[in-house]
Amino acid sequence: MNKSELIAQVSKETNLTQKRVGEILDAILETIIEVVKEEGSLTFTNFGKFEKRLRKERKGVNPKTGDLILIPPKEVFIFKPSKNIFKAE
Amino acid sequence: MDRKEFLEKVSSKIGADVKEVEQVFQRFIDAVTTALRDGEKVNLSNFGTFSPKITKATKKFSALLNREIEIPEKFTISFSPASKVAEDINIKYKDEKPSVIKEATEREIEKKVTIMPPEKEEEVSKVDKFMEEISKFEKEGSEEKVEEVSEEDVSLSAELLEVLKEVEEKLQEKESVELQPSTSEIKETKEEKEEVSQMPEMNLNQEKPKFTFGEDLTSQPVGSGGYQQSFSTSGGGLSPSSPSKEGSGALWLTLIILLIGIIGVGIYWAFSSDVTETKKEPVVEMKKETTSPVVVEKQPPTSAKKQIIIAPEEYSSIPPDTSIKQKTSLLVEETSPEKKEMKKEVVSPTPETKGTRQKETISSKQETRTAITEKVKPIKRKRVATVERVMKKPAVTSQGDYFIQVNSYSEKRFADAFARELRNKGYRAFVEANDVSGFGKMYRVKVGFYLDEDSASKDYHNLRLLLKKEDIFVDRR
Repeated sequence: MNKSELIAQVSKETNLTQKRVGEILDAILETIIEVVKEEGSLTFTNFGKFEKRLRKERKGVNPKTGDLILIPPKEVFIFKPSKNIFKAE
Repeated sequence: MDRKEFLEKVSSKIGADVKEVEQVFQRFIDAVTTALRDGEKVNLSNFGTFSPKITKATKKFSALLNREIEIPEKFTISFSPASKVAEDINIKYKDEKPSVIKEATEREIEKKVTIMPPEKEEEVSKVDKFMEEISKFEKEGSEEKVEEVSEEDVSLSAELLEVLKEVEEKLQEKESVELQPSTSEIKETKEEKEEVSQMPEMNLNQEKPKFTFGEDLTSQPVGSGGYQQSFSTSGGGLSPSSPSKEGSGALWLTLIILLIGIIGVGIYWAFSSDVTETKKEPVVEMKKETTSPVVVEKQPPTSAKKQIIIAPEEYSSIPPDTSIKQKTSLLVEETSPEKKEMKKEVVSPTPETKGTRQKETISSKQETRTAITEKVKPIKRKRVATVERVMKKPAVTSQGDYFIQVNSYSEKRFADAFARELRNKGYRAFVEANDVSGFGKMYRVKVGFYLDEDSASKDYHNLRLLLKKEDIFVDRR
């Protein structure tokens, strides 16, 4: 499913123009990222949890040269689905 | 932040009614979940993709519960953020890059070379360049040959004849032995290998001219029947007119073959830095000796200009096979079956080549040789590595009194499975059956034996951490 398909579907159900729905949807997605960046996590009941997680620094080996290297820490964006997400209905 | 706050934030951002936003948001979530439930991916540009995933059902043996557990298949959603978003989230550690703690030791580098040698490609390209040069040389040489033959006098013939005769005599002595099954070559090479085990290149270089020489013989119109016939004709068929042609052709050939030899030595030298200079010099000398006879053998058949041109095409189709057979037979004796395969693979393209046959075959041989040398070394190293690994095994002996009691089971298969797992992790685990009053037969999984308590306690702590189990203990038998 595409974003444009999603917008078309939502606009049908809500009697809003596709343009308006697109604006709102973009704002929703943007704020999700913003909030996660600031607060670390954002939970929606019956949907899931958007999270920022720290991947610790670790040792690795460069396969080309065989050097032992230190891979720096990293923060990743994670979505953990709610347990109820498929139980609804 | 809960849902209400979130919706308020969105509405304030865009200047819309909260109800409107909530409506859209609810529909959005519903649409995404229904799509995922139907097994459809949801791709939101500049945000990420949600994709449904089904994990496989598996069976796992639980050491804690003492039985096998069935893990049913599960429906989950995997989310991968858009690269833009991922970068945005990772702003804190954006500029950090992997740093080298410790550079690879020599042994590790060797290992890596065995896995993927990047130098190989360079060498191949070198050989290709060289082949191009040779082809150029040949073209020029062949053109000049035709012109010179017509212009040149037979003035040099007397001096050349003497030299040629001497060389031929030597050759005949050599080849009379070599021709039958070419055993002398093998012996020579073998002896050399025994002396300098690391120098396969040397032997191969020596063989080079001999192969070309064999090809020439077959191309002779007179001696088409066999090697011995051709030799006799070549020996006696020296006419005063032939040396003049040699003058032009021989120069080119000697130059080219010397070039090949020098470059071959250069390539080899780059590979094995151990080889001393004194060892290299004889190689060059040998080449000189062997190359000049080749020239001698070539000229007698080329009594007419046309034959010079036609000859290559003739022996391009047939003789390379024989030469290859010789090669392979030699190599069979010299090298292991693995290498054999490699050679056959590389050698096969040679019969297809045109025009510049001889040199191409030579250079291709070089390629094979370089390839062989490269392949030979890795194998040796691997063997060394395996030996070292064997040595590194945990120093647990069958002697000693101390052991670690890890677990006990009422069924033998579970105990065996657990012991196997431990053995895979490097512990010397074994199963011991005991009759316990009130429980029946119990199978105890133990690790050991250890000579003293200290060495046992080391593994004991490791096992406790590994299994996250408290009821492990060190005991004495």
